[in-house]
Parts: sequence; C-alpha cells; structure tokens
Amino acid sequence: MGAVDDRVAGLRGGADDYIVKPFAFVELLARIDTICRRPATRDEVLELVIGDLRLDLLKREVTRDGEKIDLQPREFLLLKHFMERPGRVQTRTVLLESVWGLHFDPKTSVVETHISRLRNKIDKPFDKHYLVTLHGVGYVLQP
Amino acid sequence: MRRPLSWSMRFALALSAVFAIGTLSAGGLSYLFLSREMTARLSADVRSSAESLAQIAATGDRTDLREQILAQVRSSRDGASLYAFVDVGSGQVLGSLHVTDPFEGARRLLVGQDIPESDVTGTESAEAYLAYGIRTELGWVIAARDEAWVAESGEILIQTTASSLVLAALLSMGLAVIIARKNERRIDRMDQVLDEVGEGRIDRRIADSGNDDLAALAARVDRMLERLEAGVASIRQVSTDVAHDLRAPLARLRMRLEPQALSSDVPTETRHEIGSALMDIDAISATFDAILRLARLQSGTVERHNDSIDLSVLASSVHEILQASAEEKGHTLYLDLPTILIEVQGDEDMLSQALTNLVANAIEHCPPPAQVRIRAGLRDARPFLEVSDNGPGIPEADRARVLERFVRLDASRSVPGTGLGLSLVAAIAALHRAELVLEDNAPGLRVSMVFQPLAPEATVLTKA
Repeated sequence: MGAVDDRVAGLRGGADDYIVKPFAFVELLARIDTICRRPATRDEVLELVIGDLRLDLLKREVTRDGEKIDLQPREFLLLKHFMERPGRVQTRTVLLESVWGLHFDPKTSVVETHISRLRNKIDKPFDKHYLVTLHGVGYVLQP
Repeated sequence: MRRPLSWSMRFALALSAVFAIGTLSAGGLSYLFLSREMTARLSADVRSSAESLAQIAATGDRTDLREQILAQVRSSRDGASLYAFVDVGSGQVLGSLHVTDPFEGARRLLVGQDIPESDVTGTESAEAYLAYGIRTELGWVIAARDEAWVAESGEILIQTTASSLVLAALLSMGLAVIIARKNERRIDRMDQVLDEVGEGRIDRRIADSGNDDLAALAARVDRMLERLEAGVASIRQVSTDVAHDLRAPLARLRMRLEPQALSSDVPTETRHEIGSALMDIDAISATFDAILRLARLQSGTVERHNDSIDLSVLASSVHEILQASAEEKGHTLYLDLPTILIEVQGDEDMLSQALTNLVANAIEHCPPPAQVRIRAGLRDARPFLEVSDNGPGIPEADRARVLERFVRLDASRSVPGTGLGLSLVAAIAALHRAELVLEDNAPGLRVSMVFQPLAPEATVLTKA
C-alpha cells in the first residue's frame, strides 16, 4: 500500500525513510544517499562549497564568485539540500518532503517555482549553470 | 442537549400512576364492602341481644328481665352498648337507653335527637347507634350498639391503605426511575456508538449485555455494523488489490524508462519525450494515491492524529508554501489571521493538505491576476479556515456536485487535475466534524471549513 498514511505511519514508526512503488530509481538512490551521509553533515560542516558557489551554514549566507546572493529562507534550504548532494538527482517528492516537510502533493507548482527563483539568483547572471532540470525525472546540482 | 423525557421514564411514571389508581380503587372498594359487612354484623348483633332479652321477657318474669338488663348495662359501662326496657303498663324506662318513643325492628338512633346525650357520656365518638326493638307482652326490649367502631374500622382501613399506597408508590417510582435510568444509559450508549460510527469509527460496537428487547435491538445493530465493517474492508481490499496490481507494472515501466531519460547515449529530444512519459506515469500514480487516500479517509480507516492545532500557524505555513506559486501565476495571496489564539483538535497533516488543496484550486482555476485570501478566525464561537478568491466562482447549481469524486466542471477541463481535490477536502472536513461551505464571494468563490463550536470551558487566550 502506498497511501500517504502508510508513509507517514512508517516514518513515525521509526523508519529513516519510506518509499512506495512505483518509485524512481534515482529517488531510491537519493534517499539511501541522504541517510548515509546524514551524520557527516550534522556538526562538522559549517560551509558547503561547490565550484565558486559557497553556502555558509552559520551566517546563512550564499556567495557565488565572491558575490553575495540574497535568498529567501525556503530558497536557502533548497540550495542547501542540493549542495549537500552534488551530482545526485533529486525528485520532486524528495524535495517536497525534505525542504517543505510536506507528505502530500500540493497540486501546484511549489517545487518548480522555487527552483526557477533559485536558478534566477544563482545561475542566470553566470555562464556555468549548476541547477539542471532532468525532464520528467527531477533536478540535479552539477558540480 | 437535553432530550425530551425518555420513553422508559414515561413508561415508568405511567406504570406508577396506574399502580396508584389501582391501589386507591382497591382501597375504596374494600372500605365499601367492609363497612357494609360490619354494619350488617352490628345489626345482627343488636338483634340477637334484643332477642335474648325478649326470650327472658317471654317467660313473663319481670324481675328476671330487670336483673338481666341491669347486668348487661353494668357489663357495658363504656357506653358502647345500651339497653332499655319500656314497661307496657307504666311506660317506665329501665336501662341505659332512654327512648321516649319505643319501636319495633331495626332503627338507627342519632345521639342528641333520638337519644339524650347524657346516655352516652362514657364514649367520646358516639354519634349514632344501631338499635333493635322487640315488643313483648311485658313491654319493649331494645338493644343498641355504638356505630363508631364501624367508622373507626373504616378509618383504620383508610389509613392502612393510604400508608401502604404511599410506600408502594415510592418503591415503585424508585424502581421505575432506576430501571428507566438504566435504560437511558443503554440508549445513550447506542446513541454514542452510532455517532462514532457516523464519524467513521466503524469498529465501534454497542455490546449491550442485557437480556431484553433493547438488548436484542442492540445486538442487531451490532450485527449490522459487523457486516458494514466487513463490506468496507472488502471494498478497501479490492481497491488496494487493484491499485497494487496496477502499481507493479507501472513500477516496471518506470524502471525501464528512467535510465533512458538519464542516459547520455540517448538523443536529447528522445530523452525529453521519455521524461514526458515518466511525468504521465507519475500523474497516474498520483491519481491512484488520491483515490486510495480518499477511500481511506471516507471509510475512516486512516490513522488519525489528534493534536491541538493553532489555526494561525497552519494558515501561515500554507501561505508561505504557496505564496511563490501564486505570484508566479500572477496572483496575489493574502493572509488574514485572528488576533487571538484559536486551536482546533485534529490531524495537522490532513488539515494542512485540505487548506493547501483549497488554495491550490484557487491558484490553478482563477485567471490571473486574481486575489486569493486565506483567512482563519472565529465565527459564532466556531473556528474556521477560509479561502476566497475573486475569480469566476462556481455556479450555485454546481457547488454540491464539485465535492463528488472525479467531478470537473467544463470550465476547468483545461487545467490539469484529478477531480479529487475537493472530495479530499470534503472527506477531511467530515472526519473533523467540520462543515464545508461553498459560497459566492461576489465575484469569485469562498470556501470555508467551519469547525465545531469551541467547548465553553476552553479558554481563548489573547496573544501576548
């Protein structure tokens, strides 16, 4: 059974994660990945760096090529999620759960809108584009 | 809510009343029979006294008669019995009864009228005497007896009847009330169970342990609930099976397509096409999810959390999540929050999904630029969550219909969706005993979830 309630029950019951059929293989990988690297990112890392993109977890500041970029709180969380998983495909469902804490489909373009806004801020003024859309699959931050 | 006097209480009172009337009539009849019988005995008694005196008189021995009468008078000093001999020659009256006008046969003598009051000083209550007179050769012999003891016996009977009536009435009323209370509790229990079943807790049973018609009724209701639960379970099983059977091939399809969508060997255009196919697959499974979730919400078989939910926090969070999407579509999303803390009991995830669905509907169905407003508040002591817009609205005739499964109005055919969003909201509202109201916002649509009134003892705290 793949109803939301089972997922919620599974997670509340102590599972680290819960995935239902039919799932995207990349999503399964992304979830396993997330669980495996969780302890490493917990205390020690204070700054995430991918190329010229830097994300300061303490000051909650993002710079690219030394230039400060203003992000909304949700955009910051979204970028942080991607920078913790460079090169890994993130599906819409994973992003909704991890960034917004939603266990259901909000039926409107929540993820798409925020990706587009984030992309406008971190990629648009530059030649190299980090955030890549994989049509029908998800999004990935290419290092 | 105080309901009218229950049938069992009415039955109890009616039974007590019938019992009281019955006892009263029985008492009345006994009194009647008793006094008649006693009067008859009294009459027989005075007659035999008079006759025994007459027998002595018949012997013609005046002295003997005189002595006999005086002996009788002596033995009846209390004045309950009076005797007289009226000499036929002299008209002299001998004895304790001073009649001026001797008579024959039975007669009722009134004190003060037929008998001088001085005759009856020995008794207190004497008012009338039953007398019998016989004419003999020597004169009249008359015996009389006080009627008072007939009346006294009657009084004793009335007192006994009345006190036993009061005692029995109290006992029967008490018993009736106890039985009625017990039945009321049993009926209350049925009420409560049926209410809970109505709210989706279909596993509830009355389980009445009695051994009467009420218990038989309860048992039948329980059996009906049993069948209902089994039916719901089997329907759920069927939809689960169908969904599961379709999920497996969908999963294989997805597994097969996904690597192609990511493979760099595949031309970009083909990858794009495969990606579109994947999105369609995801849309199908989303619809399955929605159908299953709706089925579970409607059958009340979901695990439901019962948290205290601050409506302001809930509304703010939905506003924050959807604001960017609304802006992207060219709408403005407003938020109206109450100045006081309003909490409802319920499942946060569900209510959050319901509100999100309502706002997402407004965002998707209104042509931009529209103003969409989320409001939380208190109306007539009932907490509410409301989403209003100034879009095209829903014609009044269609408002009830849009809550049904898969109903999509022609105007919204072009917008992607499952036609299950509002059904989900309605099911979630029903689980929270909230009313879902669709109204004209002139122009636009206003949808509110109106919760049950806050309990009077619940304190509404002013926000610091």
